[in-house]
Order: sequence, then structure tokens, then C-alpha cells
Amino acid sequence: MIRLSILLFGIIATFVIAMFGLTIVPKFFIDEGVREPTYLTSFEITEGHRIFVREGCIYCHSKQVRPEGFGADFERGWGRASLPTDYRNLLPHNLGTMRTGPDLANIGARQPSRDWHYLNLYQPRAINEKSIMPPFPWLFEVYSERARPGRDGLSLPEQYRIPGMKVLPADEARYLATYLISLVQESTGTE
Amino acid sequence: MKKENIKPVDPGNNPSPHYSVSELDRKARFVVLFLIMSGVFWLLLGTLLALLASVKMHLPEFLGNAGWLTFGRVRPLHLNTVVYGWSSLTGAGVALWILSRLLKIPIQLRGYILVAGVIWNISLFVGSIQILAGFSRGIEWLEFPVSTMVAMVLCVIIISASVMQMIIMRNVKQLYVSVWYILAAFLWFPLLGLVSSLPVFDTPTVQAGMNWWYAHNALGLWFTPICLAAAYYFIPKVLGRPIYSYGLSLLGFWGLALFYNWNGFHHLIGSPLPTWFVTISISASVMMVIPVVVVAVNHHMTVVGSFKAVKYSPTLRFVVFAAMSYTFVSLQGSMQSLRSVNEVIHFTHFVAAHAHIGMYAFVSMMLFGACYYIIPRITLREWHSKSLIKWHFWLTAIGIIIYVGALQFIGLFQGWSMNNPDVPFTDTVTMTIPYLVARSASGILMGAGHLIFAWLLIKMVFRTSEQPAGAQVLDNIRKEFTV
Amino acid sequence: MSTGALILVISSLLIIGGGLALFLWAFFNGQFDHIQKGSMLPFDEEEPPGRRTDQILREIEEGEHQTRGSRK
Repeated sequence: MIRLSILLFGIIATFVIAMFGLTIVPKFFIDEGVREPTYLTSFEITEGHRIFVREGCIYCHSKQVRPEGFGADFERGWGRASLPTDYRNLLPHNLGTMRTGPDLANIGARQPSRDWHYLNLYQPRAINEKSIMPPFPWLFEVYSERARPGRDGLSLPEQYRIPGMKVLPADEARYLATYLISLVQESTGTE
Repeated sequence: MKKENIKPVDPGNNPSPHYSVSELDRKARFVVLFLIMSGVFWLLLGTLLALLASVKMHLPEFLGNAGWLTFGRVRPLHLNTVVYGWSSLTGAGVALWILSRLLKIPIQLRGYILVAGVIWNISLFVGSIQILAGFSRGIEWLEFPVSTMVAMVLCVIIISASVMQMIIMRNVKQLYVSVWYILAAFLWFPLLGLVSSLPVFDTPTVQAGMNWWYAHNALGLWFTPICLAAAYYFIPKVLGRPIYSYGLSLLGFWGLALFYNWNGFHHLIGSPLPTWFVTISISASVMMVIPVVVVAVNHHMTVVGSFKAVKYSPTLRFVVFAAMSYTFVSLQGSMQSLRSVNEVIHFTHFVAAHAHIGMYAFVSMMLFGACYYIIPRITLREWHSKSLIKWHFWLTAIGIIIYVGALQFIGLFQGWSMNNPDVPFTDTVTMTIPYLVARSASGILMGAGHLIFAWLLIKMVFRTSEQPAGAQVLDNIRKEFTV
Repeated sequence: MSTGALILVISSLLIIGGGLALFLWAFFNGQFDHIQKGSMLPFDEEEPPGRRTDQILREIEEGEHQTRGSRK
């Protein structure tokens, strides 16, 4: 029985020490500095973050710029290294581990145009024909040319147009684009 | 059951009942079969999702209009179904059967385990629909919403209670190293699941830390111990030869418990987390070389020189393949955690392939091997076709080798090009496409292997013409199996 | 940075000391005296060591009969 108790103790102790080391201790070092600023995150950005998570963007796009000298993130013009304060305290975290597509931590600085994001979300190959990003047509609405006068549809290349129809971003596409444009690391994180 | 199976109770020192092997297997039959069969169901579903995700990588318009089948939902669901469905359910069944054999006691709380298994499967269904419907938690390896996760963890806790009760009521004196590993796994995983579900990780960087602490430990503290327990049991059992060094196996256990716990942050090299945290994980990852080499020496020294036995035994084919993969994947993992290597391979397909050596070439192959040993013994039937077993082995083995070879090769070049600012980013994508096609092809091979396995299993379990054999048939079967 | 280093040094010393103490206790307590005995635990009188099991792919592999048991 004494052997079993030592075994149990060892199993639990090794686990609990590491759990404190890797999950609780970082809280003391990071939480305070992150909680303090007011991010003034708008509804559009929060919703955009939710859609970003829902569509699983993170499985192809990391959202962490590595420091200068470690990889070529800086040289590619992706900006300075990410800081814990860059994430506006939006949960779940979106650091990501994969770069099938480019890093998005600073995408708002590189692509500040809404129309670019709408086009890229509706049909990525309309922007870069070699892209393997999935299209997200369900974030958009297709109307007849005559409907909604005054609102121009997406300026799609010929092969992606639907004859007699125009494509307009739905609310979700607008939220997502707002969120992506808000991802700018040069600022302090407030808009 | 027949009386002769129960040996007369030793009146002297040993007042506890003595169970024969066939008695233990008979009592394990329903619970273990249920866990394995439901695991195989999730394996098939997970394979389908994997193929879908893999094809979408090179044909992005494939089913592109269906929101619920977009890559970003199918890929996490693939991970969750194979991790919490196939590997966990089947792993639990295998672990319970090994424990029952090693502790000479029938599986305890069988009714409760069945209820837990049913609830587990229901939560997997609910969680899968939640992910496809867009309610993913959005944290890698933890995509199931917290409610689903907690339900699954509670089911594991019920099985853990059974494990504890079996150990306390055991009919042997000493605990074999497999029992250590299984006991540890069934304590570690509920703790992991519960801690990861706590709402205290409420800032992004801290949550990222928790994320990779959890994800790495789910492999290292749940699947690895169960599968190493299986290797420590099946290699000696099939060869009829004890393990090379028992002392080394204990060293390996404590090495794993000490170092694996700390590995998680090597997924966050270069991230905004403080560097010294990451350094802890890097050193722990390098220290993992010790338990890995110890386990490798132990397994391979036991097997060495018995090539024929490996060839003739479906169990040992899979188990030895898995044990070799464990050595390979762990040493590779230690290397990947070094900053200079990580700088290249982080964010590339290299890591995806690495994860598949761990979860497939090691964990899944080990579980296949275990199933080939366990199921004839608990159903008292023989496998339907021996050549199909071979087909299963070669399809899955070649499939995973193609997968890993293609993606790790191109992953290196992808990483080098990504770190060369003169290469346009698009080129780092287009260069991988032929290899992504190769991955889909390898997925078809592995999927065919899984279908064969499921077919063999169904033939075995649902062969209505034959009733389960009695004890005398069991003896015949066992004679056939032994040399 | 220095706080981090301090925490690292102290905790690693504690872990190493604890591990060493446990090992010494186990060693002098005689836990390692008959350690290889544990490797026989998977076997019993019903399934003794020295007998291979699960060799079901044998007959289709070898056409001629083979009696070499190759026992160890």
C-alpha cells in the first residue's frame, strides 16, 4: 500500500507542479499588464472576432509576429513582434500555429481597404489566382442588379460574376472586415 | 459459466478469489467491445473528415458553398473525433482489458462504464454538431464547447474510478509497469480536462499557454501512457519473453512524468509569451530524450532477433511499428523544440506531419495492434481473413509513411522559403500543392485500411451464425495462437 | 527577467533535491534489490513465459511445415 501511495503521490505531484508552472505562474506575469488598458472594442470587432473563430481562420493564419532576427516576419513587412497587449483581450486566443496563409497580426496595416477584404472573403482567387483559401460566400448576399439602388456589388473578375446579379456583403462580412482592418500592431491597440 | 473455470480458492495465504484468464476475458467482453467498436465508428468518421479537409487544401472550391463543411470547421472536427472518439474510447477499452489481465480481477463498475460510454458517445455527437454549426470553442485540441468537454471528462472519471477500484481490489501483489502508466493516464487526463475547462485563463496569451500545455499533455499524459502500457504488455506477451530491463522501464516512467508535463510551451517559441517560460519547455523537451531512449532500448532490445515472430503476429507488427514510431517522433520532437530548428519548421506542414507520426503512426497503430490481440480473446472467435489483416497493416503503414515523407520534406522547404524574404509568400503556398495531393492519396490508403479493419471487426462481432464459443473452444483457439 | 531566473533556479533546485531524496530513500529501502523480478508479471501459470502467442499469420507465410519453436 505504501508503494501505491508513493506512486499516486508522484503521479499527482509531477502533474500539479508543471500545471502551476505553465498555466498559473504565467497569469501573474502577464495578466496585470494586459488587463489594465481600455481597449474600447466595438461591437463590430467583437462580432468579427467571433466569426473569425467560427470559420476556423486560425488553422491557416497565425496571428503572432515573431521578433526581428527570428524568422523573416519583420523583413516581410509584417511589423514588430507581437505583444500580449496586442490582442485586445479577445477570447479565445488566436495565436495560431500554422501559416498556410500569411500571418494576420498586422493585416489591417497591410490591407486597410474594406473592398479588398470583401473580395478576398467572397472569392480569394479573384485577388490571387494561386490562393488556396476557401471562399466564404455565406457571408454575402446575392441580389438582382436592380435591387438596392445606390449600392454597388463587389467588383468581381468576369469569371466569378453571376449574370444579372450583384454580390453585397452581409452583416457578418462587414463585421469580419472591420475586425481584420482593426488588426494593426503599430498602434497601442485602441482605435 | 462452467465451474471448472474458477480455480479452488487457496485456503491459506491468499483468501482472494482466483480468476482464470478466460473468466476475466468473458467479463471484459461487453464493456471492452463496446468501447472499441464505438472508437472505430469515430475513426471512420474522423477519416472521412480528414479526407475532406485534405482535399479542400488543394481544391479550395470543393464543397466551397457549404458553410458547415468549410475547411476551418472540418479540420478541427477531424482532430476532435479521432482524438476524443477513436483514440480515447478505444484506448480506454484497451487499458481496461490490460488492467484486468495484469491485476487478475474482472473490470469493475462495468455497468457504470457502459453508461459512461453511452454518454461519452452522445457528447461526441453533440460536440461534432456544435463544431460544424460554428460553435467551436476555437482553441486547438479544445474545440468542443466546455459543456461537451466536461461531460466527456466526467465519463473518464467514472472509468478512472473503475481503474482505482481494480487496483485496490487486485489479486496480485506487485504492480507491473503497464499498470503504473494506465493509472497515471487515468489520473492525468481528468485533471487536464478539468483544469483546461476552468474559466481562469481569461487573457489571450495566458490562454495560449494553457492551450499548448493542454494539447501537448493530452498526447503526452493520456495517449502516450496508455500506448506505452500496451507496448510493455503486448511485446513480452506475444514473444513469450520478459521485457529487457524492468529497472529501465521504471526510469522511463518517472522520466516521462517529470519532463513531459513541462513540454507544452515549445509550441509557442517566438510568440509574445515571456522567453524564459518558453526556455523551460525547451529544456524539458530536450530532457525527454532520457525517457524516450530508455523506452526505446527496452522495447527494441526485447524484440531484437525475433523478426519471424513479429512477421507472424498481427499484433506485434502493429505494436513494433508503433514503438519504432514513438522513438522516432519523440526524438524528432526534442529536436524540433530547439530554437534554430523551430525557426524553420514552426508554422509549416512539417509540424502537421509530426503530429500525425505521434497520433497515427504511434497511437493509432498501437491501438490497432492491441485490438488484434484482445478481440479474438474476448469474442472467442478468429479473425475472418488473415490476408485482410496484412492488407490493413500495409495500407496504413505505407499511407502514413507517404504522408510523413511528403509533408516533412516540403515542410522544410516551405520553412526555408518563408524565412527568405525574397521569396513571395504565394510561392510558399504553391510549392506545397503537389505534396498536399500526395497527402490526400495517402489518406485514401489509410482510409482503405480503416475500412478493412472495421469490416473485420463487424464480421467478428456480428457473425450471427456462430454463438460465442464455450471454454473448450477457447482452449482450442489459444492452442492455435500459441507456438 | 531576474525574477524569472530566480524562480527558475529555486524551483529547479527544489525539484532536483526532492527527486534525489526520493531516489536515495528508495535505494536504501531496498526497492531496487530484485528489480528484474517485475518483468515476469505479465506471465502466470496459465500463460507462462517461453510460449509465443498470436502467431496467426504463420501458416500462410510458410508453405512447408516448420517445427522450430525458436524458444528463448
